[in-house]
Amino acid sequence: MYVPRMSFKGGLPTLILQNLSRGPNHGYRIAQEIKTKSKGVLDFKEGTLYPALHGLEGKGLVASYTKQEGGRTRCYYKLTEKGKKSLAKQKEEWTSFAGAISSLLQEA
Amino acid sequence: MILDHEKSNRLHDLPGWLEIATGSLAAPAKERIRIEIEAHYSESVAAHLAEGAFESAAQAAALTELGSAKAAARRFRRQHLTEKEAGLLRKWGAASGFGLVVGYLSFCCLLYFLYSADPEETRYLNPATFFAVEFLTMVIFSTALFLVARSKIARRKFGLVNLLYSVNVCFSTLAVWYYVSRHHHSLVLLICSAQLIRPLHIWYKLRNVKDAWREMLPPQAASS
Repeated sequence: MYVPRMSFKGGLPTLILQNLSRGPNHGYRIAQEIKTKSKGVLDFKEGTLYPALHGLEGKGLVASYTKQEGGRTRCYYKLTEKGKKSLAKQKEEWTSFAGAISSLLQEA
Repeated sequence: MILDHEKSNRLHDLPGWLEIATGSLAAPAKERIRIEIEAHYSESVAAHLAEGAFESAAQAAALTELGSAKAAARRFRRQHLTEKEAGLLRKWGAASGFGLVVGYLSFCCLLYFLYSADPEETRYLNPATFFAVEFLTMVIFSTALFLVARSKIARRKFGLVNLLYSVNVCFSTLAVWYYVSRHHHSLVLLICSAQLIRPLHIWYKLRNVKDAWREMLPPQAASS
């Protein structure tokens, strides 16, 4: 079956925040979970994930900490209180935007 | 030709990718990104190997999934200080008191020379007032900003330094605008505008950089 792959410039930070709302996570797992949950529709290059994470950290929406795992240093990210509020706001905006588009498309 | 070949080979391995993506960044940022990307890459390679791919194919797939190193470099530069910017901040931080006084005196003399050319302006400002005002804005205000930036509170809360730096930039912009609007010296406007570009750029950058204090450290100090 053909699966359309869409780039979602600008939407990645929201998806990262949503992923982290389930608990702390590291970059690789965040990327895989987004790709798996969107069933391969949302496509992004994994190298762009880290600048997005660092950007969210700069804004205080996520916080990072390092952890030793199997002899390797891993950088974990977790949602801050500010990040939780921002995610709630973004979800609300997205729901109203998507609702408006759906109702217009159904009308046509 | 040999060099070109070597360069193109480097683009097909992780160190080559990292070199392009983080080449211009300050050492602490470079190190942090290297650790994260290396962990990501090895996990990705392991996943491809588990799916039955050969090692070289698994490595190539993991690298492809990382995407363009140049695009990543552009994005990283927005979130981290480059070595050049960190060096500039270090230089500003290390400016000696003697340099500040010499800079203040020469700038004041130049400004006073320009003011004295306008008889209307000299009616309001005598030399003592003029030098006192300039001393207050150029030395006292700047030194206060520097001391706050060096304090422990500011190290914990970088937003405070950022705010003060923003005030400084706004103040400088207003001063230039005021001076040029009164005197119409296009050369002064050009020089002052050029002088403002760098602080404005650094100010914009500091708004996005989370760990600017660490990234400002010299490479040796950051690694220790």
